[in-house]
Amino acid sequence: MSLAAFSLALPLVPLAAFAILLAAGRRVPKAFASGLGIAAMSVVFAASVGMLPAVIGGARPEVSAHWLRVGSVPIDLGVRIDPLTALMLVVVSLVSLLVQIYSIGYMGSDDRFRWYYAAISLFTAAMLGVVLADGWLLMYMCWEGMGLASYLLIGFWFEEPEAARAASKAFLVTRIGDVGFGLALVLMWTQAHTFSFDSVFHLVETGSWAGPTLIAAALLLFLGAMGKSAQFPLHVWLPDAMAGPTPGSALIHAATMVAAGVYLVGRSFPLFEANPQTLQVIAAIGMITALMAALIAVAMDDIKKVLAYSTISQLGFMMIALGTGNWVAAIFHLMTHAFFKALLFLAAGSVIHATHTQDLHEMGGLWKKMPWTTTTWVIGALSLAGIPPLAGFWSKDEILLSVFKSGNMLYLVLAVLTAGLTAFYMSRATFLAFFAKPGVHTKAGHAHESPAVMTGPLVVLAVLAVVAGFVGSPLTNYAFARFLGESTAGEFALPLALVTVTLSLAAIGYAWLMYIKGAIRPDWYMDSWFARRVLARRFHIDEIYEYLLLAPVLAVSGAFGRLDNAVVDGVVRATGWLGIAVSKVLAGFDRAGIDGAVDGLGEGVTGAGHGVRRILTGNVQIYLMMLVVSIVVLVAVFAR
Amino acid sequence: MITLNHYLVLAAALFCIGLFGVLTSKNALRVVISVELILNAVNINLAAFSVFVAPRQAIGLNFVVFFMVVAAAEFGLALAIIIALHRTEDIGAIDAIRKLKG
Repeated sequence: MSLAAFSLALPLVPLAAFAILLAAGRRVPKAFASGLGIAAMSVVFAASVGMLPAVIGGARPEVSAHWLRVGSVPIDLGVRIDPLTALMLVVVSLVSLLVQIYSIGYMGSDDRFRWYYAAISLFTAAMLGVVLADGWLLMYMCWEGMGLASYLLIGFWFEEPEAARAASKAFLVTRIGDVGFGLALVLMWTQAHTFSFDSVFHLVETGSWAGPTLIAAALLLFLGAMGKSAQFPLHVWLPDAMAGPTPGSALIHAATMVAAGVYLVGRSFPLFEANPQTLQVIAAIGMITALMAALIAVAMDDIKKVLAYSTISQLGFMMIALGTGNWVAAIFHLMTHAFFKALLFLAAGSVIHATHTQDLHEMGGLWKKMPWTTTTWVIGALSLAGIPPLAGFWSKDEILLSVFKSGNMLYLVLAVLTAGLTAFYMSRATFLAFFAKPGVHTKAGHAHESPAVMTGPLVVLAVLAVVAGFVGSPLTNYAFARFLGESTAGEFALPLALVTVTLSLAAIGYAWLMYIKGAIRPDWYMDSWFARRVLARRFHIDEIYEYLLLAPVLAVSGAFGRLDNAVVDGVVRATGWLGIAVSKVLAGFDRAGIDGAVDGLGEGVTGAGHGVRRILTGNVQIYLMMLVVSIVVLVAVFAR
Repeated sequence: MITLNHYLVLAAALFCIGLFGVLTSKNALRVVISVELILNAVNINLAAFSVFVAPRQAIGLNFVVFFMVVAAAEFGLALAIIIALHRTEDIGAIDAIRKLKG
């Protein structure tokens, strides 16, 4: 069996780790849990990398099994590996591996350490299933598995009401998208009678499936992607999801799971390509999301919230790339983003681990105490800000070029502006946390560098955040696009790059003047009505949901509750009362008649026993007397 | 002339006196003495029947001799127990004796 063929079974490896950890519970030492998780992920990573040459060489291993038959139509579940899958396998397993190594240090003192590793293994198994699936049905199953793991990890510290609430919220909000995904499957089944990528693509290309149902199916699939990838207006769960452990956030809510929506659209791209209006919807949603999240990120003081909104914004960028027709650029940005955003989250975790605060204003001056964390964070931030030659520069430039070529100048201006905002809020977070003079509320006094088990993964990710972009640059003749089989997708435009880089550098310089030099009053914009009342309140979207959706639902359910109490409960209570009355009559008969007979018999026997007992005094002379009397009586009766 | 019936009446009277003594006495010594009366009533019966019914064999007389020996042994044993109890526990009443349970 070749390595590539073996790779088809890769999700089973972390799944086995999950099962073992679940069964073992607290009986195994902590080192066993982390060792098992890391060993499983090492196997997956080694296999993923090891098969890359074969995939480049044209190998397309696949295996499919007959699952069940509906009517005369069989439903098959299968897995397959193509370049896109191979790429996702490498990214997911690498980030998961590094996060698990990092977690040894970050989660070491936690009581539920073993459960943490079980949940991470479950998540990775589900994510590998999503990228390996050869049809939407298996993908949907694993998609839900990811949702479960996400729920478990957000609610990891479920003793805190905030975490429990965030977990439920994430599960319910993404469920809206998942319902869309499910409905898309229904449509697909009624129209195409298959869930396999290749079969459906073939039907779409030949025009056998077209028209409104195809548009509806594509948009519903995109709804699923919006839920998982936190696109406006379903983005509200992701900032709250930061209540979970930071390394878990880094893996699930920054690097991999939230990118699954982008992967879904990229994988289903022929469905969208067939109807350009669906692409316009994607581009519009992506644009709104990217700009809105970047604006909110500027006003956030919690380091994890800044990163969360940054993630939403970058996912919006990927959607813009998809919406303007360049799915390769979206996947490219997905990959580079996975590396530098995981890096930023893990570095933020290192800071939180050292200072026990998430508030940027309570940090400051950490660069002296945490050199490794600072260096790697800065690399990640520069990569995110799109400074050449770091990874984020190449992927973001390709997206902006895609927007430019689509001819929509409004989008181009907004996208470039968003890129500038990105550079600004990342500089703000960087300067406040690491370089600014500590404020009066600082908790950075006793900060110290994290152990090597935490800084090691940071260094690896920092290296990737530097070099990962080169595969999509002209320096390697766009190896990335060629690897994905779209040799024309890669492009680079110097003027556009110059504009964005200049803007980003200007934004960084402005932040420097504000937070380091002090030439401009720090956070002056926070005094404005817009920043305080709109941005810091996250555009009031949570409140809008509260009033438009939750309040009516609660009012209706309250009314039904009262109705239930008055009418339904009334009937039930009357029935119950009647039953009790009848049974009381029956009970009276039971006591007097049947119990009387039974008790009477018992009492008779007991009474006789009491009577007889009085004779048996234990006095030998009385016994002897009775003996004599008995003999006399017997003689008197029988001796005649 | 003294007939067999005179002896039987005497024995019956003696037996009833003994029985009365056994049933009514609290004093252990009196109970034992009453038991001796019952035994001797039986002995009188045996001797009377032996003489009047089968004078030549004298089987009943042999039994009487055996009974007297056994009664003497039994009386000696009972007297010893009673005196021992009387000395150590100061017990005379027969229904107060609990110590001899196995």
